[in-house]
Amino acid sequence: MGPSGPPRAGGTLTVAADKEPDCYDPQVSPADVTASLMRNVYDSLIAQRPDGSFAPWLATGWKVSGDGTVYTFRLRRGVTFTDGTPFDATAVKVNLDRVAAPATKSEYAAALIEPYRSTTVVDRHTVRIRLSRPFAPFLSALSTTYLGFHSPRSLHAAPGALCAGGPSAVGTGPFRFVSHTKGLQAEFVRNPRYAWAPQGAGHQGPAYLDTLVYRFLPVGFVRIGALLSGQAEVADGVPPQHTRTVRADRRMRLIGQVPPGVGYTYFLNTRRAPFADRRIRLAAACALDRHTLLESVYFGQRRPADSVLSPATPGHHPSPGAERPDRARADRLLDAAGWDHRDQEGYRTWHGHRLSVDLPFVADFTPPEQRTLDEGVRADLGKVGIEVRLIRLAANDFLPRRNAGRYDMVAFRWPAADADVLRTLFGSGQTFTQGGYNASRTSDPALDGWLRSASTVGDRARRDVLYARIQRRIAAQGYALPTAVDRRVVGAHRRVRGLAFDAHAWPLYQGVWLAGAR
Amino acid sequence: MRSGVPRYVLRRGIAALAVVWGSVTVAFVALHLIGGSPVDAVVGPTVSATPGLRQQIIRAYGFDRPLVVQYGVWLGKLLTGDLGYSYQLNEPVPRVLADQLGPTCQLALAAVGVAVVVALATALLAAGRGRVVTAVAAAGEMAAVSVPQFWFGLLALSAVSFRWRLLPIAGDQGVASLVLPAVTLAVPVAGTLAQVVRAGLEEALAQPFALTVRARGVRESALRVRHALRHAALPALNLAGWLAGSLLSGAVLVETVFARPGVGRVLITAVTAKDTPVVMAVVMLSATTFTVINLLVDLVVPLLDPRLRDGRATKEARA
Repeated sequence: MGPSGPPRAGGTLTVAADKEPDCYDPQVSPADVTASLMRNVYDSLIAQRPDGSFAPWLATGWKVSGDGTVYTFRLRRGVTFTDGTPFDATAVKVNLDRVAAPATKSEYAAALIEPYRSTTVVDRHTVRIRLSRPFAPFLSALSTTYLGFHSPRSLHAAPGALCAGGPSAVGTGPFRFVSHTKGLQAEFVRNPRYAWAPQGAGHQGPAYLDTLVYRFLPVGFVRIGALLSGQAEVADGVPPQHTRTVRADRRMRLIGQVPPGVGYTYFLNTRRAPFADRRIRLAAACALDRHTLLESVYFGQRRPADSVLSPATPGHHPSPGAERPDRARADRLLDAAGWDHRDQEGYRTWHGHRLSVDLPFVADFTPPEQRTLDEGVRADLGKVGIEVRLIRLAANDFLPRRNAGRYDMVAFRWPAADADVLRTLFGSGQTFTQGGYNASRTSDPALDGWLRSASTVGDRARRDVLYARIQRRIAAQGYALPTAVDRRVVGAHRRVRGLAFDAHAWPLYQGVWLAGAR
Repeated sequence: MRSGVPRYVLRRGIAALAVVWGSVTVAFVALHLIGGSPVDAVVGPTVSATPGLRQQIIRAYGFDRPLVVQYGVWLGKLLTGDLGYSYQLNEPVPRVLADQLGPTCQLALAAVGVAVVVALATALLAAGRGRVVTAVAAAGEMAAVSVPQFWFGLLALSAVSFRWRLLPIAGDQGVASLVLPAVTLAVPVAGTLAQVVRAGLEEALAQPFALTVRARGVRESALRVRHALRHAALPALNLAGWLAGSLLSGAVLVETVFARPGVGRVLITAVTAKDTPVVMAVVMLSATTFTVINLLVDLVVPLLDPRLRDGRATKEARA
């Protein structure tokens, strides 16, 4: 371990990253990796704490009007972008207007502040933001990198170049983006004038590190090799089969973070037979042996999910009893639904039709452990007589098919810091073709009502009551099958000190320093 | 009749252009046949685009026009040197490829160098040295040809970079970071080349001229290097086109394992994302490289092989 004295400045830290952004502009790109990487460059008005409350950041304080549609922010003074432009009310306005403008083709940020109407510059350090309706997730949205701030000068000069990243990406953050080579790495250097970390951050001043380098290493084995051989100090996305190797090395530590939002979940299409029948959906839920499945896929390093929402999400509410399968109940449900015959292969039939469901997937979007999970789900459902057909498709065949609802199950994860993500996933107005992500294709008036209320009331306790009700409903109706509580596992050399994680479980490098030999 | 050679070159040049045009056209049609909507390519996989956003993209990119019109527009732009914009990266295609060409060329050239040296050494040492040596050489060549590159690359990394820490994974550490990827890419190529050159050498050494040369008292090594190798080089040269192709397909794997930047990796992501402009540019580049190499081979082989020259053309070439 070595002595742990005061933090030392200097040095280069290399991160072995598993994914590479295809667009470095978080106001445009929806990718998690873009939000994570560019947190080094772009600051937000406020920061979300792990308990769901908010801390001042570029805004020192804020007020919400009684009807919940007008937010007034007082801005911090003396903040500058790394190109020398001062951060002020005008900078806030041009950024938010740009996110909402259709020409920006924002793929996620605009949806996060959906009811945004306008920003008024009250004075140099005060802005007033108007929404078209009360919107409880608004503060959470503002705390994400997706609503970080570009320098007005770079927005004015070449907004189209911001996707490409590099020196044209200018923010107020603790690092400057100096260069990147596609397929190789992205390089950041310290912003020496940084003095406005979020309130409550462990370190307030400029970053300790001189340089921060992300090496893009898509192959897991190679990332771990890079970490253990000293070619990287941090490895992102440690695959479950390699955790033991990292743990066995005394110089290393593993840090697991549970990200908020929705973990890897199977969504059942409720508008198509057979899953239109609630009994068959529940039979599928009873058939899943999560415990054994996760044991074999993740070597016991993931807990079974007890709700569609991850426990790290404010408003999470467990619906227990989903760990072990209940095949007797599955059998009763399927018999009751009329699928009470079996064919030669043991699958259930109804008037000569086999009970089979299609699970299309895109190999490129599906990491190996999820492929194994898919196989496990197929085996478990097969045990109660439901045939799962795994259909491997290319991305451009999958998307039209998904959007048209020609599937029985699809699986994905959706990290998000606010429980309002459930509205995107289960609200009836949120079909794929409408820009939402309602993969279960649910149209449930009770659920819609609660989701709408939960997105408009400002009071945390009342929201929590509503979200508990919503999660119970989703479980009781069998709209979706959650699998595991996701964990983002980072491997780090013990020399790496001060590594913190934000509410999204993204690593923050502003307070990181390197102990020991240089 | 002074125009024999120039006319031949001109004819070959036109044929080469036709090949490039043919391949990009086939690629264009194929990309549209594999289904899916280019709008999804622009939007990306993780997003559900609102109808408004979709309409906007369709209009902006002209996806609502008939395919023939889109092809015409694209070809017209191509003739003026405009390769268009990447759907996925929102950058001009030349800029997407600019940083990526260098690393791939470096990798390919280094791999060719390694493969040629290894193949020549094997062939010169092993050709016609009796049954045991031949069997060992043949086994080695077979192993090299059939070893899975992905696996070999990981093995090489594991030993040389992680365990002994002799070489870095990759990156910008110059030559050091080129060694492992180049060797990995060279292995199957070296195997094939060695097979061909060794067979050619054995054939040449069995020819009557070899007996004549030996009778003049020339040393065996000199006979092999100076006289026989020329015969053996011809079949290997005719493999040049195949070589370029296998280097590009190998580069896709090697660049992924070693996390090197390069055209191979760009091509993979572009094909899966249906990023038509980028795919077309890479196809055009590969087709051009391929035809240029074959053209050069066709021009060089007659100079090496007296049997392929007709007297007139040579006289004029020397005039």
